Amino acid sequence: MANLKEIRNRIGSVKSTRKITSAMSRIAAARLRRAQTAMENAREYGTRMAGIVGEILRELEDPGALHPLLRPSDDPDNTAVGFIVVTADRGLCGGFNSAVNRQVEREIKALREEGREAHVVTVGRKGRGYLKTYKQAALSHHHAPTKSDEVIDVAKQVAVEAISLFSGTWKAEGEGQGAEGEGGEDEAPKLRVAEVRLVFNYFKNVITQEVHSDKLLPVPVPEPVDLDGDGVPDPARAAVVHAIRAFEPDSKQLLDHLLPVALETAIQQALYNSSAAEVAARRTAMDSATDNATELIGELTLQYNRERQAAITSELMEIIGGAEALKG
Amino acid sequence: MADEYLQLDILTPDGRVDLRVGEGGSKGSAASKELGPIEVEGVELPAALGEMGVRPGHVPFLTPVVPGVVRFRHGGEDRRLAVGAGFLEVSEAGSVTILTERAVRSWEVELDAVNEQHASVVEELAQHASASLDDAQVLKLQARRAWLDAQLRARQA
Repeated sequence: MANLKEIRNRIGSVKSTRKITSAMSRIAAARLRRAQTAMENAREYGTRMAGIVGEILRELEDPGALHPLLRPSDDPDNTAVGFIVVTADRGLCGGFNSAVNRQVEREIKALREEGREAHVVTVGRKGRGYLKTYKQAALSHHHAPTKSDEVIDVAKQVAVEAISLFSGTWKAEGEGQGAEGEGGEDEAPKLRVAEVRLVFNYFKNVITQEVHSDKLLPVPVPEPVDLDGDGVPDPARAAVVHAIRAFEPDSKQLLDHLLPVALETAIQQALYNSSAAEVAARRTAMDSATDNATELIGELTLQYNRERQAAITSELMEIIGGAEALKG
Repeated sequence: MADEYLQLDILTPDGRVDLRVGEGGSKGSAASKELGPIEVEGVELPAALGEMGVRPGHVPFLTPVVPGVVRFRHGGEDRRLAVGAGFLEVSEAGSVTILTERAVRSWEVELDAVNEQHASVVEELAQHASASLDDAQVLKLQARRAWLDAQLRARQA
């Protein structure tokens, strides 16, 4: 009998889990449309911007000499790599967070084997938590943005941090504050990295997310390819030539403006992709969790009925047995 | 036609800005994706090398845009928009595209909130007056102040 009650309880708890997962899946489905629209809107801006940046960088002669953000570090001791890790604030979205975390862990492990250091800026709680267990404290942390305003603000802040990390003006904030308070000494060692990478989930389609690990800094100069692939030079070309001429002899000024914007746009795109991918991943994960729960409830109900029938049968056998004994 | 009108288009990460809406029009979000560019006689905008105007027949051109105010005339009214940092592209076909991180129509600026934020940013900047110019915190604050300034000017000018 105890067994019957256990099964009944089990069915009850699976049912309430299913209620939660199916509600989450429905919420995610509703949010998905919005997140996807936001991402598609942003994509147009992002591709135009990336196109302009790419064209200008291609047109410039020897861009590396013009701006420090385009130049690989010349200091042989500076081998550290900075990571910008974009995850979600919340879990229950399948392999979404762990895919990014595993990628980062792999890359950091490879660096550590080479004796190089890694510094991390995280966006989203899940990435920070994971890296902490991996003994890699985040230099700075941001909440995963969901609204468009927040995306722009966070992208801006992260871009500034990436630049200061790359150019060696980063001040360690967390630990530095304590030291300042005590002796007023500004001895926090300035951090510097030779490269900044951006790791995030790329929204390929509703069921597929891909982890991308892109090099942000030094800003890569794209290969001279035809973006449309139609063999005709891109229409921006004339405009680009005029732009560079207008800033002659000071192309640096143009780059001063261009590069931070390029960086911000790249980060923005990553954030938009990540937030759409998060919702999509959660929907898929919660959908299959709901299906699993339904299946489990079916199995348990079958088992319950079987047990109940067995109990009834054995009771009947007892009664019949008793009656037979009295007759005899 | 190409000689008389420009095709103006403002793109933000939020989508395309609906330039047809007049003051008191739809209160919806500043961005909408169905609408194409509008025709204008000219447009003034804050470029990195100074305030500039674009009229029909302009050479193909590309220049950075700094936070400030974009002005143009549409439907017999003067229109102003506060824009953030970005780029201006004038194509050979006479279409003007402003790629900017954000845009707010002049009448959508929330004056009280902006004034309040502006005051607090200025105050915070004053506290960092001795910090180096490359300091990440200072750069963040300066960027915020530029955007708030742009909104205020769009509202007042």
